[in-house]
Amino acid sequence: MKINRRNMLLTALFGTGAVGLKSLATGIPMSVFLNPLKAHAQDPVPSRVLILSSSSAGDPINANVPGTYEDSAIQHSSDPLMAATAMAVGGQSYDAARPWAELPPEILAKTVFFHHGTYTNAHPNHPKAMRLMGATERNEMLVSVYSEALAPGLGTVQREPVSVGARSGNELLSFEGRSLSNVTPLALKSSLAAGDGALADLRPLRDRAVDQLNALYKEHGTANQKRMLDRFAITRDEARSLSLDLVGRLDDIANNNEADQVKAATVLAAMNVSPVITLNLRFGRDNHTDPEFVKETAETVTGVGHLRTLVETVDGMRAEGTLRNDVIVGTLNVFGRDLMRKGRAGRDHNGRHHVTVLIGEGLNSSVVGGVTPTGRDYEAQAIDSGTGMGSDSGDIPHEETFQSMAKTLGVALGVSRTRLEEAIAGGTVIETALA
Amino acid sequence: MGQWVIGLGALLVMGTLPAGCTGEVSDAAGRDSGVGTDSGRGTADTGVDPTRPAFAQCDNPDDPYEPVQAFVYGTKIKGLLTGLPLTGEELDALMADPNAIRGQIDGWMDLRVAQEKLRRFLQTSFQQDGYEGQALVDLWGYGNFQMGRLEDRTDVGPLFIRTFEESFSRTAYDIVDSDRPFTEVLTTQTYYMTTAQMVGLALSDDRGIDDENDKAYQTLGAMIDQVEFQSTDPTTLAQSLNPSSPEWMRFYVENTDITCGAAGHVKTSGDLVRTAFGALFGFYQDNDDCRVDVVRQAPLLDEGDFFDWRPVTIRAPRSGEDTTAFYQVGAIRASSELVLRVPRVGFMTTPAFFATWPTNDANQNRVTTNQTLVVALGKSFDSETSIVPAFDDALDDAHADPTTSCWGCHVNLDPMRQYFRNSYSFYYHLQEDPEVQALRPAFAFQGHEVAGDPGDGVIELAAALADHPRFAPAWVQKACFYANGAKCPEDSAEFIRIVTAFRDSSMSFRTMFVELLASPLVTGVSCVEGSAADLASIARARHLCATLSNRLALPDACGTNGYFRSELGGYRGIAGQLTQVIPDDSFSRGGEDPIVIRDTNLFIRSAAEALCERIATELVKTDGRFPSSDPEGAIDFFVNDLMGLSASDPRRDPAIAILNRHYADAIEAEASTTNALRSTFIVACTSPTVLGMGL
Repeated sequence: MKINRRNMLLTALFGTGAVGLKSLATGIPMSVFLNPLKAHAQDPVPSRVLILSSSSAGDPINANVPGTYEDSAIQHSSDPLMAATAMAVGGQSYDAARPWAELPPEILAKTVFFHHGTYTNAHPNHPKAMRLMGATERNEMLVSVYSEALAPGLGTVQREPVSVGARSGNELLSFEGRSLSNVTPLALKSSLAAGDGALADLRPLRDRAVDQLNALYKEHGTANQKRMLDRFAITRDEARSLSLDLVGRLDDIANNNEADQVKAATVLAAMNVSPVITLNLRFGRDNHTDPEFVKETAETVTGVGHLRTLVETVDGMRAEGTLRNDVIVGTLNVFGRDLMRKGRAGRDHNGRHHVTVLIGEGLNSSVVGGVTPTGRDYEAQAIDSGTGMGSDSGDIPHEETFQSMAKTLGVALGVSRTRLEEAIAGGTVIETALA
Repeated sequence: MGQWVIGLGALLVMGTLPAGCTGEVSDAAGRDSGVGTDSGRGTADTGVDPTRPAFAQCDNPDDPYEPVQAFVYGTKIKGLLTGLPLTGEELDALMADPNAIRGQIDGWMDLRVAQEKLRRFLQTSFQQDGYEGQALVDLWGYGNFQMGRLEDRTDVGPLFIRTFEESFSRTAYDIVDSDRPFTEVLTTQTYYMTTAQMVGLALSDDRGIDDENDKAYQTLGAMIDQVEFQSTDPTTLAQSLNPSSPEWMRFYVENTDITCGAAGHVKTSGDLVRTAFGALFGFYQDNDDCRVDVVRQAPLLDEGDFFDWRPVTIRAPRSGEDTTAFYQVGAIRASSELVLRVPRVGFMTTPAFFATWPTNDANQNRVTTNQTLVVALGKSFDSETSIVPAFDDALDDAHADPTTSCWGCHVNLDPMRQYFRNSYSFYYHLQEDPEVQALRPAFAFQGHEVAGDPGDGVIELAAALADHPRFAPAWVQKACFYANGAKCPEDSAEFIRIVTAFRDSSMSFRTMFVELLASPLVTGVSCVEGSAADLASIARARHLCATLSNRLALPDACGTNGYFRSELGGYRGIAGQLTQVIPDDSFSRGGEDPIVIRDTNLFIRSAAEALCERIATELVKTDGRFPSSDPEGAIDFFVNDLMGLSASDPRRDPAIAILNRHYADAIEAEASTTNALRSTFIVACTSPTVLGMGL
């Protein structure tokens, strides 16, 4: 049999139970057919991809965004690069550090600054924070709740989220109890690089031989061993179903730095690999000791810049048709930082105040919640669910602000409200934050 | 639903926490390390849900336990230890008598390749390989410190920094190999080191950095008033490093390009100790006002000084005795002793451990203390596992209110971290503040309590840890993770038996390791409730790379072991990048369990396939290991040696038939004989017994 691209396509379509054909015909990802128990009925809402910057360092994003400039006791950098600058959010005027305030109006028009607690102030609890400190169903990570729910609607290659920027074991993602490996930009580039032409042409034949080997091993395997063999087959098929048209965009990746993470994340989104992609942008990091907030200033400037590049890149790809789905870009770290306690000498951990920044379609420009003094420092205020404003008498208590952010983001992404109620205990969707 | 309700409760409790408890370090994420939380066996078209690993249930009549067959567990254990395939003779012996495995393990552990694999396990288990290069350089207190470059353009800095990863794993391996009590990993003051590392530690010892980050040399600053580099007068390094010689600090650097004004090759300003230290490592600095004022080239130290591993005992100076100085290179080369002010004991005071876990004035050595507990005892601080110590002198006032949740951790953690505080500043240099040292440390953890005295430091902490009853089970558990990629059930009789054997053998790691690997907890020949013995996993990077390297006799098949650029040429450069995609064992801050990723994904699969393609191109060629002229011999090797299916393995003959058929199909598809054989190699290389473990 002469191997050519036509035969390759036929194998991809008709191999492994013709899942490729089924997938093509229905738009449902192959992984759903290969694992039908996991498929959920779809709600008729648009599904969006999430690209989330996440870090266990606990960056001081919360100190520089709208909502933390009204109280004069709150400390900010005095560097002109971070000067308090007026900005319009949701038709209201706020002050924020210049890098945030100077984001283009079209980005601010779909940006939400959500003040909430994360209820932990320890770096090792980053995985717990990603699980909403125990408020998710079966202790699943929030990004995995989203990913599992969004995969069918988005038609992604896989159901699991992908991380391109985890810097330590604490930042690895998990899905249904399985830890997921990090895929650095350089590694992504290498693993997806086109193989040797002649050998690549023989892949369909090899896939058939490997399937035969798998079947042979299964004959002699236990149920658990068969499970692993199935995983080998499924992930091989997922790899085969990747659209490689965009791989060329990875060519100029030379590093695993933030700029390269941005490139990798956008390409993965365009390749429709996963509903959720995480990366790791710096906004000042763990700045206990940061006289005059020098580090915070430098990294906020570059961090907001990367965020802007990310948004503009996905918007550009969406406009040119490279990207099939809308993307929401966001940030979620283990905790925020103190706003006042150490003056301008640095900032300690603050599990009671964190700001998630969300940018994308489906979001309505707004500042949700606010801050209130605690005596020691500040915490996220209770929220009035009707207005989204911070209020000491708000019906969403501080203890449910985190889940409220998670549910609001979930709705914006297109996860059904029913599913969100099942998966997240507590919290209320903030309708004013939704477009 | 139960977890969900508990989670909500936990959330509400957490909601009452006051902010600012920066020492809260526990991570009770449970089965967060690649192990499923759901032990239910699902149903898919194959009869199993592929996403859900199942732990052994011994008394489930609907799903009886399936014993693991000898060809599976024999391959798994030999692969774990050596990366090599099970031979036909070994499999025959196992099939005749399953108890033969114990003797086989003993023999495999003596192979050289087993030493390399065990050292790698120890390196990660002692958390010696998680630091960024700059963090280790920071221990010297030099920002942006640079080193030279070898002829093949290898950067000396990263090379030198990486060698620190190996120091303690070599130390621990020596303890294992000589069958000394494994508790010595806590109490030893003898470390495997290189001359270059000794020079580095000697310099670090003289450079004090206090809690305020004030830096001062003890003796060296006054000894060096200028450093000269010249290329005309070939003085010896010994002369240049001899304070009594007229050539003191006058270095001969061949072909140096340093030329600058009237001062010539002299540096008279700035940190001259740093300049001289840098020169030993190949970084030559001239006066700051020179236009071209730095040169990076070969170090004045010999290349061999970076790799001459030997046991070196670190001790405090006796009365009137000088400490070892960094410039005493000749004496250091010949010595097995370093005389230093800064105490070093066990795994938890190595530069690699300190660089992995830097602390600061907010954290105040809490992270160092907690990670020490995680490594030594497999436990992390939380308010549930501690007892209140008799003394709380060192309890931080900010967390001293017993009515707060902070107190539960800090009441134990703060007095314990004082052992580190009494020995080290926040920058891991000598603690010389008498006010700090006046505080009394105390050890109280998991039912074990030791009252300290003011001034007690890390040596006393090591003794407390060595006596702790959690040490033995913690290390059995770490070995379980290594073998199964999952936790062993600690309440099982089998686990308890192995812990007992460990203790009864005077803490012989080898005895424990052999007992564990031969146990049904790892073999899966019989059911142990809750064990993961029959769970298969991907071959994590260290295992896959050892498998490919050792079975194919291809040194550093993954391109991850080389120190020199010249070692990473050809396909290894790409192989190294591909290997980054394949998960390897690691650890996390506060995580009691190691991070062991068991599952595959599309990227891992793509990378592994691409790696196999690279190796195929390297080995299958006319003048290569597998010439296309002998496909039959090559296919026989692929099945027997690469896939590890020996003559007695029931999968061997069908596998040979599958590979032969693939080769024939490729030829029929008009592939060249070379490409047909390469493709056949890739099939074998991506087979379950290469990419997986326990299959």
